[in-house]
Amino acid sequence: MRRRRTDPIEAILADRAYPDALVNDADEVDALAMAIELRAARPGSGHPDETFVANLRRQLTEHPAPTSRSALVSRRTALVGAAGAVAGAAAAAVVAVETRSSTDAPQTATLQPSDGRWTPVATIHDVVAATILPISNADVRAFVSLRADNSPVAVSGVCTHQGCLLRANSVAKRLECPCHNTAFAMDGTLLYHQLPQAPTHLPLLQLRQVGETIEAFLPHIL
Amino acid sequence: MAADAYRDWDEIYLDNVARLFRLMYGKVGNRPDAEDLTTEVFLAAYRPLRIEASRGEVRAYLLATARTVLASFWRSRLGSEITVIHVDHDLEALSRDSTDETRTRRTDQLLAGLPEQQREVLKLRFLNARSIKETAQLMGVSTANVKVLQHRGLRLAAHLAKDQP
Repeated sequence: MRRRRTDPIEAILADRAYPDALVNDADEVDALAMAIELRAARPGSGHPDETFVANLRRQLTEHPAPTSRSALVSRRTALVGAAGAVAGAAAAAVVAVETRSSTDAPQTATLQPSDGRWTPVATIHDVVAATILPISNADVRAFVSLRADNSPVAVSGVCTHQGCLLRANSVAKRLECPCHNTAFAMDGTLLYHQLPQAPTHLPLLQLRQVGETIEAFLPHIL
Repeated sequence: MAADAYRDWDEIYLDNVARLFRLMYGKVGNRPDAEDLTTEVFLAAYRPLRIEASRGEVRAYLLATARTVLASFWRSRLGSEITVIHVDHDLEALSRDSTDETRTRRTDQLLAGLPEQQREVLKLRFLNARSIKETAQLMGVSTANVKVLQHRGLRLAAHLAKDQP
């Protein structure tokens, strides 16, 4: 199924980032500029989100002299160790993390290993510090981040097009494919692409939170 | 060192982040892009900017950076510069502390110049954040009608805006 390109004006109304599109008709340019003006005229609409202000401040102080934008992307990688698997078993109070609200029509798959184990992958603090935390072991490569409501979400880090390993863009909060001009949101949905056929969304990992530890349902490590 | 210079980068950031975000939001109309653009400006300005510069100089530098960042954003995202930063006008806006009330007044005037149904659609959709469906129900017209009215209303308002800059 091909995804219909979103109208830039609908992006404004939904408070979403613009899709990659071509707007070159002079009337369309004027209409879009007017839509922006109307939207920005709502009282109080131009106040930045507090979390955004705090995060950017931290980013600037932690990286006082960046050499390039890419240098700001967190390189921290949490390794999933077999040793950690024991810890999860004794958990008394397990808070199940809902993997997805299922209102979206395009299908998002959930990784369901047939011989899986709940495996600790990170603490909630790791994810807060990294914004986008790469996790990997011999079987799986994924990225963990926080949703707007601070619940963790993890998606596969492998592009669904031809299997290239995605890169985290923590500034734009998206995952970008180095092979083709394709990017995914942190919940795995396709943001943009320039391929003849839209690649599918990234599979989600099943997550649960045990205290401050985030566990993923991963293939059993032998 | 200018008398009103900032103490450090943190102070530059704290004094200007909301101003710059407001400016960018006014240029792109959605939060995610306004946040990305604000981030890009601060990252780009961080090193080249001298702390000892005056507040006015710092803001002028941020604005010049913002102008380039916005232009390249539009070119890569939609292929045309939908909005631009005008250094003189926007520097004044950046220096103001509160939100721009003239902005609201101007849009009120533009809307007042539209036929009633078009005005109503734009108000419900853009100012009251109603969906196409809700707008159709509130106005007692079809959703297809709402789309047409929205389209025509935006074009006419854009046309009227050219006469009253």
